[in-house]
Amino acid sequence: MRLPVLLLAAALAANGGESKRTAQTVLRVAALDQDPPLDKAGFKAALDGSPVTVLRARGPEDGMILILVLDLTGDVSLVDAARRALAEALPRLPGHIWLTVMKSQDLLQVLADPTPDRPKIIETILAYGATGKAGLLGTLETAAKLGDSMNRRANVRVAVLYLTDSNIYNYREDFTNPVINSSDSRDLSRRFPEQLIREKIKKLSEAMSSSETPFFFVHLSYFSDPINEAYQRGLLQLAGDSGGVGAFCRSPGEIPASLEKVLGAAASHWSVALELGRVKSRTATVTLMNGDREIPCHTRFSLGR
Amino acid sequence: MKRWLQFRRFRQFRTITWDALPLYTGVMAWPLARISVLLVPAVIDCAAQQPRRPQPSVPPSELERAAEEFKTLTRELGLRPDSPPKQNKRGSPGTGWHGRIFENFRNDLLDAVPHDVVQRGGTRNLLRRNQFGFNVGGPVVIPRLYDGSSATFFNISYEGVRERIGRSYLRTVAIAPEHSGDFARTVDSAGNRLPIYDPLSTRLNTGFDPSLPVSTQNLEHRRDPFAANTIPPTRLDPVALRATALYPLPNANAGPFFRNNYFVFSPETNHADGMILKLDHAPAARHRLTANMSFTDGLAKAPRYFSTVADSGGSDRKFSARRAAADWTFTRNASTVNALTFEARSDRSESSRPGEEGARDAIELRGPLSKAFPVFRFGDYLGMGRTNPTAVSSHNYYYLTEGLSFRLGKHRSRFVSQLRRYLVNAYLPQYPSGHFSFGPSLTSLPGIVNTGHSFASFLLGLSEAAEVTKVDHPSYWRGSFGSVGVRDNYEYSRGLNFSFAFSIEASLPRTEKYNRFSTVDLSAINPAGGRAGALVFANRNGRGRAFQPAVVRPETSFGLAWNPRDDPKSVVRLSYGLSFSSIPIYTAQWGTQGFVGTPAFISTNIQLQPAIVLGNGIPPIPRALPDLRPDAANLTVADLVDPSGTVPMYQSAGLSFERELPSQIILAVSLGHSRGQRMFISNSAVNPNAIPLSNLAYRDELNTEAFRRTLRPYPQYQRFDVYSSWPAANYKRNSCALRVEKRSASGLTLNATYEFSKQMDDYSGPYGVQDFYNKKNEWSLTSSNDPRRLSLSFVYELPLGSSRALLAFNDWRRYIVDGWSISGITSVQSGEPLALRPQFNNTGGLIDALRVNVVPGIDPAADRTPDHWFNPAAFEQPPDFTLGNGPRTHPQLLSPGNQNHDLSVTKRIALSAERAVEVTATGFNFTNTGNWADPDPVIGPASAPNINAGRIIGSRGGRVIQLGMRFSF
Repeated sequence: MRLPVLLLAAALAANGGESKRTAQTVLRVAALDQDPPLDKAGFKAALDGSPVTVLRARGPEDGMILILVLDLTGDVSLVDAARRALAEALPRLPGHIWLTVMKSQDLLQVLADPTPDRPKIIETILAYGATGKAGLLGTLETAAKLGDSMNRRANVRVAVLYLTDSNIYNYREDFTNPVINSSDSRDLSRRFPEQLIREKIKKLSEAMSSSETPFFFVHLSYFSDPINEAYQRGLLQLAGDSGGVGAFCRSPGEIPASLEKVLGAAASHWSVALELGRVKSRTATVTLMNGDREIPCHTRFSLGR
Repeated sequence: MKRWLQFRRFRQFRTITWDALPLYTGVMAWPLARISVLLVPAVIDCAAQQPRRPQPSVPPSELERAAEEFKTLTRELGLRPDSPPKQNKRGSPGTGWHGRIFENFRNDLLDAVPHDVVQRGGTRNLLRRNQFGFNVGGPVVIPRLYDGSSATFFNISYEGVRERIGRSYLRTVAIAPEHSGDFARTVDSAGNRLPIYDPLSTRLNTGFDPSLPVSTQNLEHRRDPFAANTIPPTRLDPVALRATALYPLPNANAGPFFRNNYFVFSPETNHADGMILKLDHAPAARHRLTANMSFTDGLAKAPRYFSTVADSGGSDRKFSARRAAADWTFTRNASTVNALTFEARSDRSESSRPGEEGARDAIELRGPLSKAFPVFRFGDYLGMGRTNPTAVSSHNYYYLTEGLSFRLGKHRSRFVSQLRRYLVNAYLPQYPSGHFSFGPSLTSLPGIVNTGHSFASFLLGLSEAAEVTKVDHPSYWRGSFGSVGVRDNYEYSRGLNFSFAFSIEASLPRTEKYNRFSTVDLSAINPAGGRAGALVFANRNGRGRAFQPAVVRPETSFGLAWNPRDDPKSVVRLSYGLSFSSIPIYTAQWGTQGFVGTPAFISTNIQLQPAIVLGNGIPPIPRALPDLRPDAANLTVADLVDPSGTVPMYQSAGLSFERELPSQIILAVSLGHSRGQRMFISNSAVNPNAIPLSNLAYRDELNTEAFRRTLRPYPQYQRFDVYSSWPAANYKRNSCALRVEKRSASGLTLNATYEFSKQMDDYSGPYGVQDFYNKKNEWSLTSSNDPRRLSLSFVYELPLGSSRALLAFNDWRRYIVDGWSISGITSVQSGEPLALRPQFNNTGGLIDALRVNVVPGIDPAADRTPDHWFNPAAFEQPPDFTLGNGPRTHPQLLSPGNQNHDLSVTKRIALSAERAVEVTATGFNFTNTGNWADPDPVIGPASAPNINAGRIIGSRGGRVIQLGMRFSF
């Protein structure tokens, strides 16, 4: 019994604490376009209730790089339907949206560099073989960092879109807390089986709160067991918090429509740059207005990259 | 040719359009796009679907700059094939590792005292439990030897449990005077004195009229009661007396009438240690290897009802389990994946109780018996001795599975083939020191119920029936299965998908490694009497190694998913499945008679003659083992293997509608129907050697074993043991469920499901069936059917702390208010149908599970209270030698419902981006709700009604708190 406590104490002692913050002067807030469309000149913003200057807003007509991450490991029938749906949907994206394709198995890997060349992208997607372990949770942070870096270096919008069939049981990291001692009939520690995945989502949520890149996803199937439901809720939360959106397909027939909807949302998203000035706190809550409308966006930020 | 050239030009143009569009944005793209719109219908569609926006005006350099940044970054991070080796990070174990260390703690100081303990006057429970462990996983890196940071990954989990827990039981034991033969205070269930008769005074009644039923006015045999209802000390059996000295005295008085007088609070000590190890490796881009291993070892101690060698509380169990699996996945191309898996499992269980060697010597019971304490059973009283005092069993399973997934046009298919091999080894001597059953008949007034007493018969050493198990060898069972199947998904249109699956499974029958396998063959001629039905042996006399045929069965399923009007927010699903189950490889030594000895001692008339007198001991077993003669199982409960190879068939059909509503609410309604036919059942529901119930007309003659034997289809056997493998049971279930899910709103997530169901069958219940020859008459509610069930779960991330609505501190206080969440699970379900039974079963042994009679015109559910859960006046004890006309399970009377509310509160403390501590307090049944126990279902005769019938005598449950801490990294 004492061993875990000692290990815990040692780990705590070894903890280096939070990384030191550096000055951050601009905050790019991702927001979804609305109906009717948002007015580029009409953005106003507040940080923790205090008005801040809107430096610029980039919207659907501006250039964008969409990082398309394939996280496909399971049922070939669903994967194949998704690949074909992508092949149909991508040509409909406006030409100022460049695409890059990555896969999430065994760390994030580039399959195709950012390019406007749709046939090349489609060819890459169609040639992608679904195998391995689910990788969304393990690669999302890296994908978002990539997006942030591009966002800072160039005047373009960047979004991350995961096409995933991930099942919480297919992760290499253990989030399911499987029964180890089957004879332990009085084990109540698994009564709330979603605790581990909730912990992981919280960790990711904190990490993503410093990211300015919105996260979108299309999940090819919907699982209704408690752990997968918690996982799926977590994905929705991560996407919503980052200013993105996600969709679950409850039947194979829904894949094309869901994909089109999420691709459309990613392609038309806004990136609004705010002047931070001298920020005292580590976190900030953003309120974004367009005209008189309050716009759903990436609201909560950790500052100090 | 001309057409081909036009096509080429068209393709080139499309390519130019896509390539050129972004490069010439602002200058050339617009005209080009306009041309493309004119020429390419597909682009017209796209343009129509895009919102009306000003046309792109992005300087190409911005996108190119971003793309260059992407390439640079991904190269630096090692995310692309041309990335340079990560010099600094190479060979550093721990990089990218994640995991957790945890401890869960429970102590009775935190808990509420369970309701049943409080009701027996207890003031505290006993619970000490620590559950601890760790998990760690990540890339495999061995400094200077191997860097598998992008190809080889591991995951290890360990969990240990140390537990001491008190469990409570309420039983009935003999009161102190009864220990010495004094039954003066012993009463029946109505509180009337229960007379004990002297079997030595039995004599024929010369005035008996055989044309009339036996009654107190027309006795066939006369017998005198013991003076003062007390057995003289000289008459007490010496073995029984010595055993009684090891039997406990009452310590409680829940009642009524000395019943429920022994409250046991038994501490158990358990421990377990287990580990799971996973390894996966990608040796090449299209190949993946995974290996999983796990083990668990532990000890589960059984409860002690009392602290002598005669305890009947079961054996302590040592267990171990091992599992290993290896999997190779080969991705042939984007649409073809091949997977090959091999899995091996081994489970071993060993039961014994140390320190009880030579227990039988304590009572000096003679006979060819082992040293364990014998099993004594006396009616409703707590028994003595344990079945299977020493037992060992192991299961070894091997699976080889090959799966191939591919696409063919609009069909997406998967072929699966599997080979399975089962090896089950068992050493399970059930009664090595004998099983002795004591009933009231030998101390009763012959033929008159509610006279005599089981414990009095025991004190006299008069056993109604006895049995001994002699096992020289373990049994080594083997079985093999193979299956081939295909599943196909067909996309008919965008919103309509069909799935179809078909498989064929072939199973080879159960065999024994050394051919120590036997069964009664109902067509073989028994040399004793020349009747049909004799014991036959595997691999002898021209018989094969098995008694069942190889079985080949097809299984199929069909499914449909439809989005009405192509609306992805609505899904209709329809499904149908037909499946069969295999004949299991049972963990038992059933089917080994002749190699295993099970001599049975049967009373010639349980009212007049004992099968065994304890003081005389068990006579020598006349035949040595192995006894491979056809009559080796005669006069025993003979093992009977169903030779037909019939296997249970299951069908299910479902229809559901799911709709996504505004505000992220999902509503689902589903209807389900399932049925099972020819399911395997056990001896309580099937008896191929049952005497037809029309023979009840013989009334008291049925008490004579010799006469009863003549009525059996196979008189040479007492009955048959079919060991849960006779294919004769049926069930049908209809259900309707409504599910509402509110995915997320301000951190709150809710999930609620309500199900209404009705399940009927012809076999279930605590007592068995009444008429083996009329299964239609057994059709009633399934005893475990909960007709209504509501479950509700929620998770709420409290809106506290930095960047949240309340207490949004950014200073030190955020460490206190950040990261709180609560979650809960509530379940409420109605009770199960009650199965009532009469107190006495005077049917000459023809009926195992006699039902009650229904009294017409009386509402059984009137004025319901815990003391009067049902109205016992609505039922009555059937007259002697008649069937009960009530249902097997009552259609309206349900046991009390159950409710349970669990709540978990978690505080998360983030230490860094990767490290956090979570502290969790979980309250199981946190409302400390007591759930009523089931009412007493026993209906007594009108002359001595069971005054407890319909009454609930307590409740159970209590709040349990668990504190947990988890450090994750």
